[in-house]
Amino acid sequence: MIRVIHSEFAKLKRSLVLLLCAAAPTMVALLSAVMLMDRDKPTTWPMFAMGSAAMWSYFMLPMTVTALTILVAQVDHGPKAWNHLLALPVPRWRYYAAKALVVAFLVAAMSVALVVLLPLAGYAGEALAPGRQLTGSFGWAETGWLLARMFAGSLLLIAIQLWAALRFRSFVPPLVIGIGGTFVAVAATASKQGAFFPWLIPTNALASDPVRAAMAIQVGLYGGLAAGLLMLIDMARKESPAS
Amino acid sequence: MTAAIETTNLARRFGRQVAVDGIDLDVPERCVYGFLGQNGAGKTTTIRLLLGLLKPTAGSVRIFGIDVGRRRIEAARLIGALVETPCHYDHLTGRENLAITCRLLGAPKTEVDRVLETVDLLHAADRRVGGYSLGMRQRLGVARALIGRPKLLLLDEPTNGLDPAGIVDMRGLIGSLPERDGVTVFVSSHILAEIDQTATHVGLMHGGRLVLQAPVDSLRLAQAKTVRLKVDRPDDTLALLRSMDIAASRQGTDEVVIDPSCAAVAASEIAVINFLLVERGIRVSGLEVREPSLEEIFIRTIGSGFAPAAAPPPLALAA
Repeated sequence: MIRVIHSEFAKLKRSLVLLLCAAAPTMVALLSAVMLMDRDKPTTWPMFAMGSAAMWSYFMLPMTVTALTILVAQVDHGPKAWNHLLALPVPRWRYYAAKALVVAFLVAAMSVALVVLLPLAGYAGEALAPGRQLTGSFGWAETGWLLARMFAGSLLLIAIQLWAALRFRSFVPPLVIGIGGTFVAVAATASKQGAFFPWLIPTNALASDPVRAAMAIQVGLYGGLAAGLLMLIDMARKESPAS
Repeated sequence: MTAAIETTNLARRFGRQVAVDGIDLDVPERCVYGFLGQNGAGKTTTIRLLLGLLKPTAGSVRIFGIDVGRRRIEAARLIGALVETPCHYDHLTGRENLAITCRLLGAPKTEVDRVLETVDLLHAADRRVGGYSLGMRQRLGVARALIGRPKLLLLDEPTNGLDPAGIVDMRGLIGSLPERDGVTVFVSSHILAEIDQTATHVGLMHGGRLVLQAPVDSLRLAQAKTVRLKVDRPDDTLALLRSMDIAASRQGTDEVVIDPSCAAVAASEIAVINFLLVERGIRVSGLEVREPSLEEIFIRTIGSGFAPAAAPPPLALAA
């Protein structure tokens, strides 16, 4: 399995995947800095971090997962590499499991990058717009824990998007699912059912009701593991992964 | 001796369409097996069935005695394959592409240089594959199939896109593998002349069926030879041959060809024919006894329809 994971990472060399993984948290950090500079009222570091995390989970995370899963799947769909891969003496499910692990790792890495970039964005905002000082101190542990819960809650979203990206040779169906899901999430933000909607689950980590937040994260985490397992079973049974 | 490939009543349907219809392949070890057929005859589907990429509708596949349906991974360890157009990661170099397969197979890294050298691609190993010509991609595909020193090599139209020199090199490589490395090569093509020069055994697919399968030597022996006479009086020659119950036809101004479908003409009879022609004052300036090519044998079997032997292959771009 290690060899398959290693080969998945090797395929991503010089691809757009790494650019995407660098750009997504950077854009959130930049936007946070700009919003801080534009803010009239004073604010605190915890509020700044929560606002940035909301921006990440609400829009950037679902769209990045959509793009990332498509890119990871297209690495093999594009050149029709499955004929070669599936003829090798490697159990088929390992290819799909390796892709899922790689995507999960990259999303986790982006979350870590965001934790690192947020204080930099705050300091940059303060420096570029004197008078827009953030009070208190940046809570590394709190922000890290918040983004970790968002990551755990995003596993269902990752599983669904990756399944769609692997299942279809064309990038259009997973893109439509991703954009549609994100769009519906905007409308469903305040609804009770939002805690079960994959594209909205990560945002629920911010819910003021701790029960709702915990439930949403559990749905995302365990639902993601279950959906990932179903994906492996479904894909491994197919003669050809994509239609 | 265990057969390298053995299929029993192997069949595959796609909906109502029968792509492969109950074929019984028998490929001995250490041979070059030419798998021939027109486009759409079922060659690629058969190769995909052999690799376990498709599940058969009926029948079974055994690779060196291993049932592919039940023990695919074990069988796949013995096979290197090039299926259809070789597909590579264009954003990676040739070396990086091969390294991925090497890693997946658990083969040593030194394999990369070995196979690159075998297909004469070392000079372009560190260039991105996106800049490779079609011929170079094809050679990289063959190199990839050779990683891990497989016992069986399945090559689907391996000379596609190669320039004439590349085709000659590929023929040489394919022909040398059984003796050099003990590899069995199963090579599909729709160009008969290509297989004619390398294969020791052939199988002919037509309409999803295996209509012919035999060692090339025995196939040629079983077929009548063509006898071509160059004479100054072809009409008199035809009359003489007819009087001997030998069917023949005139070709051009001075040639007479004995019909190969008529009973095989023995060497002694050819000498007699020559003697009688000379005795009647007919000048014989040429007498050629020729074994039939695979193309002629197969056209006799299934009628015409193969790609012309003389069709020039598309030229590859300069490396």
